[in-house]
Amino acid sequence: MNEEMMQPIDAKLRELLQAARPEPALPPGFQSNVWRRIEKGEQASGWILERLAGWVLTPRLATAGLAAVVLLAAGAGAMRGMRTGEQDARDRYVASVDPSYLQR
Amino acid sequence: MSMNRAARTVLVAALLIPCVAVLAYVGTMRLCARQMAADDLSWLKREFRLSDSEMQRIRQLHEGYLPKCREMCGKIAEKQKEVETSLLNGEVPDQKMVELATLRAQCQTQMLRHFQEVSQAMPPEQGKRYLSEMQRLTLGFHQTFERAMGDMPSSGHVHGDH
Repeated sequence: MNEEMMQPIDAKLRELLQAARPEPALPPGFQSNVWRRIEKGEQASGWILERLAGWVLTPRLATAGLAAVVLLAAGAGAMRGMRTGEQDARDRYVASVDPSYLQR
Repeated sequence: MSMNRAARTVLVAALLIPCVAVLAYVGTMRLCARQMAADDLSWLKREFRLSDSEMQRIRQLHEGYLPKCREMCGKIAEKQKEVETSLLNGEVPDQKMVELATLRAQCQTQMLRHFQEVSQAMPPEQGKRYLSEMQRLTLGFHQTFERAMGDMPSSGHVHGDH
């Protein structure tokens, strides 16, 4: 008897709750749109990798890129070497006339 | 090109390029540093823009000074050893300490005389700059040290500490 009384109350409560929190209907083709966008993202990253690999495997571009990297690194190395070399050269001279200089 | 192969190619390039860059950087840096400090006097020539004839004169002075400097260093080291031996034997080596200080003073005087001779072999402006730079680099250290000791508060200055 108790259960019989509860059922209409449950149904009423469910209706009330649904009315309070309406669930909007999904637009048509929602799922397929989501999958399409995921595939597009994968295709884009694949495209970037292929493009990069293409550049790396193009001898002219690869040589130019590598030459630029080597030139930049060598330039930076030369500047640093000149600075430290200048300091070393000065220390070497001063130490040759004052042997206690390097012990400080 | 398959996706995997493209990824592998890019990965190899991404590893290889930094390695090549590091090699180029380190190689050039060492080469330049070695070139700059090729011999004892290479810094003098560059820093004071000296001509070949000035360098020749300075090289003569330098080579003449080195044996005297070595001899003085030998004497100082010998006296230092004597002082240490006396201290180990529990003696107070007053006289030896005076002799050691005298040798050090003679060594510094000889060094200053050499700086003066070298500065005179340079154009006047460069010579003046050389002299002050050498005094700063050699005697300056002692002066800074002594000044720092002089500025110390008397409570923190314990003679037994040095």
